[in-house]
Amino acid sequence: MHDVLKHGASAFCVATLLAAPAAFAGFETESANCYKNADGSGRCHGSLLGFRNHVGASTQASFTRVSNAAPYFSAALTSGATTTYFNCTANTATAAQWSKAMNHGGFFSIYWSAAGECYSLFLINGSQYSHF
Amino acid sequence: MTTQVLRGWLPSLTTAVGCAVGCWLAVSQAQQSQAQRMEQLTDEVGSLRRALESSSHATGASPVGTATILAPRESRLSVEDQEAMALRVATLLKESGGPVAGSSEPEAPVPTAPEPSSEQREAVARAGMMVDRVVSSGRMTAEDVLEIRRELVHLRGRPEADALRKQLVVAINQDRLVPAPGFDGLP
Repeated sequence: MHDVLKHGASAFCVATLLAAPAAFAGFETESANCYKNADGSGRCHGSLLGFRNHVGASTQASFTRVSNAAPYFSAALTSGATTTYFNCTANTATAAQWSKAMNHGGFFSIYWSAAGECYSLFLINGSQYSHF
Repeated sequence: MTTQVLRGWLPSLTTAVGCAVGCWLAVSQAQQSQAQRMEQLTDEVGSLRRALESSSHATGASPVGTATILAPRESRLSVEDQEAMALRVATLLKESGGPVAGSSEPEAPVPTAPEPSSEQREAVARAGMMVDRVVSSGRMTAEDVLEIRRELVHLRGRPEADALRKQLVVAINQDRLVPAPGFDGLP
């Protein structure tokens, strides 16, 4: 009787293991980077998830559209005890992509000029960047 | 009998062997050209990376932040490759006069806005004073943002509002103006 129970339990364990779905982990990447030059021009790139999960407590990035003005990008990056802020308002070409950027979970790269104008917006969507 | 069989099979056999040789030649040619193309692409990526590194050294850019690769695999595009691609695309678009428009490039003519009303002129003056005050103080609180935003509401879509907002943007980018903690966007 005891053997029967042991064999039954073993069979149950094996059956459970076989029935369990296999877990797969695909390629993932996260990044959050910004820099600015002496004249104020610069670039931010990475993913919104990367900014959210960045080690800096005040790090953030956002694409904003308002009804009464040009859309704008803003970011803050905390490195150590220092938080640096980055902003630009969209020009005509980048404003046309703003709706996509606001719904974008993938990699982005945005450049701005010394005049604070976002002049290039590069978007890549991919499974490695976000939890969809 | 044997001769007749050979005569019947020989043309088919010759054709089959010819086809096989032709296919082999075509496939090997395609593989060779593909390998050459891969070499070219590898060289191009390498030169792009070198160019990016040298340009970042030359401009004296001060990078902030870190890239975190959670599961790096050599066969995938690295962040550096993506940066190089983004830079390359931006440069090519700029050179070709494509959708990337730099400040030095001629833009499409913007329709001139009608003259502002007296109420709008007053709003411009008030918002302008607030922006000057905020920039000169070097700090921008959430209350400042709301106060300026209240004035800019009267200037919906007007170039004066964009110009005032640009003043704040440039001041922030040049580290002359620091938003308060919990910065929640521009006015």
